[in-house]
Amino acid sequence: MTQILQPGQHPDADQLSAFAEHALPPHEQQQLLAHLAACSDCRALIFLAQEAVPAAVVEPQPIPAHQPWFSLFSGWKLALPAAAALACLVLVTLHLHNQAMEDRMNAMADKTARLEPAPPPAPPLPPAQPAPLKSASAELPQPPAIVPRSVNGMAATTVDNGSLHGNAQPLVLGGLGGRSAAVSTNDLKAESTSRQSSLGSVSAGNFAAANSAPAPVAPMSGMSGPLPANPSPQTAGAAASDSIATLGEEQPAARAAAMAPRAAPSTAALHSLNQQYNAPPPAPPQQATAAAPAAVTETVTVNSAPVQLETESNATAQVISGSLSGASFGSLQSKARAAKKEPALPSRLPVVSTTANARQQLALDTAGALFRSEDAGVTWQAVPIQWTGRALKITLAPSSKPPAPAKETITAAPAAAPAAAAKAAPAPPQLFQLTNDAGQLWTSPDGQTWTRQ
Amino acid sequence: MDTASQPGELILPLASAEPTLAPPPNAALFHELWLAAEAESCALSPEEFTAALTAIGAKHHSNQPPDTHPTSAHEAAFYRSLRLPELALAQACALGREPAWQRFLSLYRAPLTQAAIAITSSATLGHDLADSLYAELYGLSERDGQRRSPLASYSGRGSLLGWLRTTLAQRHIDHPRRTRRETPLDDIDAAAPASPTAPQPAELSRLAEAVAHTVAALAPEDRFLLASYFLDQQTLLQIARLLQVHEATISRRLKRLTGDLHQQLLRHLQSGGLSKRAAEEALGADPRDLEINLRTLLQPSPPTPFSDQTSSTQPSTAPGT
Repeated sequence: MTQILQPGQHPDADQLSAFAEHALPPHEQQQLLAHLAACSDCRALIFLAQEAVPAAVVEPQPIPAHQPWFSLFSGWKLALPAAAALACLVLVTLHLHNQAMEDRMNAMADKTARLEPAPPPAPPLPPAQPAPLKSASAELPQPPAIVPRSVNGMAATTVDNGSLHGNAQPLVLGGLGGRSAAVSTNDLKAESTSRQSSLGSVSAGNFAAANSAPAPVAPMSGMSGPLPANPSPQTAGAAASDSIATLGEEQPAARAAAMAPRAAPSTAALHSLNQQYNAPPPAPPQQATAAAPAAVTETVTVNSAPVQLETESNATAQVISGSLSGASFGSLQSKARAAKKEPALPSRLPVVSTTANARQQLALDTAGALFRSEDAGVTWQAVPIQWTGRALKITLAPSSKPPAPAKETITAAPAAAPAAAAKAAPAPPQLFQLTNDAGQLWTSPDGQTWTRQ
Repeated sequence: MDTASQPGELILPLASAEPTLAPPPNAALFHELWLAAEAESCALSPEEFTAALTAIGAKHHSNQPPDTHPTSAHEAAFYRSLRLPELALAQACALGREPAWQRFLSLYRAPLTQAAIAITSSATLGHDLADSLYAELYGLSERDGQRRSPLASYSGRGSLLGWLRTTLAQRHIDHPRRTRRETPLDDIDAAAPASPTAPQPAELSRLAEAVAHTVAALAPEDRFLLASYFLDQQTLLQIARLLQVHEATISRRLKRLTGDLHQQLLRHLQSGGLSKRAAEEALGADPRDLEINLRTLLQPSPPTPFSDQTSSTQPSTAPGT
């Protein structure tokens, strides 16, 4: 105890006020606290003095309230994540768009590359049709794509939303002039520039079909290289009008049609379209040599796949697909068809030979193993080897020796008794015939058991 | 014993500081403090201010523990920690300087009246209490031919306004005590004489002894909390405002304190020879069966009027006397 706070005494107002304001030294604070614990009067005094203190002075500091989580996004703070999200969305959209375009371009390039082995150049066609035009192209060649080209011409002049899906099948078109221009759909960038490219290529078709339909000449006239990737409609239109000028002044309708490529198809144009559609079978690609006076032979070679042209008019939409009947294209088609039907054997080897009758299907792989299927090639079972040597070919036996009873029944049935024919036993399936590397033949009725002939 | 004396009151002569005081060794420090206190505007001379600072330093031992001798650095730190402008104003007012009084009234009249109204919970009583304190502060009362002002007891450790509020509360509490003898006897409800206590069972005696021992062993702050909350019925907010902590802290401390008390009582009873079950049964006894006066246990000192307490210390604390 200090001399200020003697036992039995009470602290003065100075000490009490200093205690309330925490201005006392620690030892004096403890002494005063001990006194306050024992002295109710001093406690009453100090609590009474505290009541006179404005609440704001001694009010303990309130615990700072936690900011709500959404306050982070209030005001301008919300703009930053929103802008970031928007930017990310735009970037992702652009990336996906570019990737889709790239994939499409790659797919077209692959398809083109697969069909790239061009067929041998087709011999030039002799003048096939009399030219209704009085222009230099008195005899125009009729390439195999005459029908679609006519349609193309129609589309070029009248179609509103024509688009050309070129597949890089070589197409040799006879033209009016002597200059040659090879146009490949690879250079057309296909669908990405569909409208302008279709305008150009369709005009090319018109150029070739100008003898039968008053159509604008292709913008390829005067071109000796591939078409620009993205020719503008104005360029195509201008080229068409130039071609029209070379055709003569007798085709005002064609000129009008060329000048207004988006006009509705006219009746004359439809008539010419029908004529072209009913034209003789297409000839192989040919190179036309103009017999016209002062002719300028112009050969336009368009590498094009089976041309599929979608044309839409105001009222109707026609999808006309034409396919070239060239030998090479035919072989390609047959190969593709064969590739589609080629079964997948359990040995995972290529199929050398395959045949089928009404019930079973047999396939021979390159290793000489024979497989049998009863469900149209869905599942295959290996046939145990019952022949000598290596099997090379599997065929159906010649049908010249069908079972006699069945034949008789069939021949007798229509005249004598139809009911008996119904009751007759069904004809047995054709025999399978297997040829080994020694040229020996083995036959089997079911593909499972084989007997040597 | 003079009933007019106030706790911690300093007796200052009406005249200026005595010239017999030796100049302190750190005169530059006191002059600096005199300038910082703006004592000149209160018509307080440097010598008077130095005498007051010296007396306050000696009284409070420069805030050092009593068993240590404060160095000059301690004294300088103590002087610098004081509220020098308010101390100079209070000392000048105690000396009756008119400029100081004008300044005092302009600064503290309104807050003092508001504090008095808050203490008395009445505007009339509050104004009366404030006016009576003004008269007392002005030093209308004289002792031994000397003017005495309670402002001389202000040390400057706390704020002058806090000191005024505490003094107001003192005067408000002292007033009914001083006038107790004027109260008619009819109004006093005399308590009935205590009936002779019946002998307690041994368990209850042990429990009373354990309670007294445990409460006596509590820390001063814990006893202050228990007394304020359970005896004075103060709220958690009032206790928290006095100790400048959050009321949730007071609540937690009280809860922990009562739990510790229960455990200590159990241990004390078990150490006294009771089993654990018997100790728990003893703690479950009805408190009305116990003759335990917690008030006497927590506050052994009898309440006496403040005015009767510090008169014996006045000569020793008054500077220059």
